Amino acid sequence: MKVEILNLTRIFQRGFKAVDDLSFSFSSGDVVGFVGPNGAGKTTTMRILATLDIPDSGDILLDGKSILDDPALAHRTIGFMPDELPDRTDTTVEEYLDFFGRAYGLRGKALADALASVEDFTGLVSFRDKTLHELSKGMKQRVSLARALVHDPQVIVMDEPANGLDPRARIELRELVKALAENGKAILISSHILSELEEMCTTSVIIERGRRLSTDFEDDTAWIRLRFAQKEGEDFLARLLEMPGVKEAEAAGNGFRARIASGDEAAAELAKGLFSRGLVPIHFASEAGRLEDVFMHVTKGALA
Amino acid sequence: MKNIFSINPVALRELRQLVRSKIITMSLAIFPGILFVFTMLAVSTAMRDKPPEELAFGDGLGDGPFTMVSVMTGLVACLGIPFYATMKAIMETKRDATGLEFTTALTPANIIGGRLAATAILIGATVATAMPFFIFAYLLRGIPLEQVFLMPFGLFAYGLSTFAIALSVACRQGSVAMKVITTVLLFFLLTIFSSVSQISLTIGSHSETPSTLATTTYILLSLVATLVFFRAYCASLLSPPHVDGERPFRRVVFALFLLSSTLAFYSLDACNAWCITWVSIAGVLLIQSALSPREIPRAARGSAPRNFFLRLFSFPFTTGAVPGMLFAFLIIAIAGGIFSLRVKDGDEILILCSVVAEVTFAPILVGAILRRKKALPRTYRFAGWIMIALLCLVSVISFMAEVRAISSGAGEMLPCNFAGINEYPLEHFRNYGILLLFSVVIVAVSSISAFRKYRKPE
Repeated sequence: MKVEILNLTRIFQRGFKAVDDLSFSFSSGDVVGFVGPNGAGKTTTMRILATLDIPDSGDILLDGKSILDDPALAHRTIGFMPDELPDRTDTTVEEYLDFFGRAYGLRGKALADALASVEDFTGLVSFRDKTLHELSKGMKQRVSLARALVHDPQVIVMDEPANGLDPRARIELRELVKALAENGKAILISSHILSELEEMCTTSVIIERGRRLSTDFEDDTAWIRLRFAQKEGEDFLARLLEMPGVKEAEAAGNGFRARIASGDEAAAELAKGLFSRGLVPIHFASEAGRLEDVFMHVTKGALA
Repeated sequence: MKNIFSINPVALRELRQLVRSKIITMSLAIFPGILFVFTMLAVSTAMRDKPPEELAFGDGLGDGPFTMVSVMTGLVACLGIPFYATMKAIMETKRDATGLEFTTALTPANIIGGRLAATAILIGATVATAMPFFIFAYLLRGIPLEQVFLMPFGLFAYGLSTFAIALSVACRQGSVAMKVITTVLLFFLLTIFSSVSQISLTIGSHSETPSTLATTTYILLSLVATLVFFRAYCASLLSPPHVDGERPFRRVVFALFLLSSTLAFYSLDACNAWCITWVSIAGVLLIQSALSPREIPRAARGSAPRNFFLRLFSFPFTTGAVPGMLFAFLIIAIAGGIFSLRVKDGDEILILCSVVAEVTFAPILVGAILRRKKALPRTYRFAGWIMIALLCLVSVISFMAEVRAISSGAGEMLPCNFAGINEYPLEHFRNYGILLLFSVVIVAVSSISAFRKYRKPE
């Protein structure tokens, strides 16, 4: 399944351009991080994908077919997980999923199998008789994901799924997303927690003021975080810069950060250089956060 | 076939929630007890008021309890349940701001239909609970047997119709004032649907007093007409952007129009009811058009016929503010035309219809222009300002003529004005009709050419 977003533009009242000529594409197995400041147009784009809004111009193609001409195709193919969580006192998890299963046209054994499958996948089996109101935020998020998956869509659109979750729930969500990608789903996911996105995404799209930002500057570098048993002085930064492959260095917390070429070879070269100079780090790890760097570099924090 | 008989998911969800609702289960449990107490009170009052010799035969004791049961059931079925179900719908719409139902295979009509079905079951359960008490009242004598069945059926029909109207008002976004105006128009419609059904049944039964079967059919017909209309109307209000929601609604309106046109030819009473119906429906359509946020959106493009003439014909049935206004205008004009054939003073009806069109079309077109001034073509705006200038001109002329007539004592020579009907159709047409037609033609041609641009890509 290939999803193509072509020159999408959405103009609200008074000429407010929420999305401005946005284009990108992704395919089965891809996990695309959709990143941008508040008001950048992420949710609007996702709502158009889910057929909850229509663009003023541009199109969205699923395997070459327009969802604007055939919204039912999007209903069958896309599972949308909004940022709001289900919360009702008069509906159990099972009833909630059953309703959406039926709403997608599932009946009888197909419905029962689909419910069993999504409840098993999202770990909701033991919660199926609880009302939605009784669930924790993390479990509600699972219910929301199960709802988006109940008709076995090929494309999953997740709007801020990690919002407000505790660390355990975030890790569990990450594992679920990875498992979905391994099952061949195409996933578009927006989040403010960029380090998390980086861990699960195969690629990312950064938008600001409704426009896709160029990330051409994304050179092949990575940050390595270092800490030593003995506290090193300020002059250590100069020594660090002399190490093989180090392009930039700075103090960070109780240690240092060094920017080197990305890849295992450059990291090994740096480690070798440190050891050869008698500097044995007690902490040597590549730093997650490259997406954060890119994000901070390309965005200006401006709203549309 | 499988899908026809499978239960509507929204109805199923609503019923599950009703079963879990403490308010509903408590009310249904307490309701028979309340009916029992009030029935016994009514019986004891009736027994106290009756002379002993009449009591021995049990004559007329059922009247009081029957009235009491009818009032109690009516309060619950026609007020309590519609109010509860409407509030529930409003709260759920607020809670699910995303509109996740619209990402599924459910259509807006399915969603409204499901709500109506669940409420029908709840009202049906309430009426069924009261049935033993109705039968008890009948056993006490004084009540015709058919009334024991007609009353619950009527309460059921009225309760469900009330809910349909309340739901349509709840679905509408807009100011409180607009909701009040719409509600008044819609309740008026409900009455009209009933009267058209009643008259048509009277015609059908060829007698002054309709039989029980005819009355039952009349209630059923007006209920069906109300539900069909409001289901389509609510669905058009609920429609997400990817659905051309007003198209099915206008189809229903057109179907009702054809049906009642046929009925109206049988009786002058039906003719009157029919004419008022169409003026009311046109009012609802015009309000809806003025508040519609969209001009021929992309959703309509997909369903536009490829053939030019078919596209031209289907234009008024297409979503959008201006097509909506033209549709309403068309309905008023055709209604006036047909009605004028049935009465002696057909000219008056023609003037009535054109006056309704004039006084509603102009402000609504201008309202649309003000709301969407950047989105509308220049020709719309041109036509809109002509209409407004026309309204102002006529108001001034009418006022001056009125003053002159009063001062000269020649009241019968008043020129035509928008506030009333007089006997000078030709004068009316010469003064205002040409300008009105000119404006409408400009809007129509401009809209139809815009619609052509939206034809489905080859």
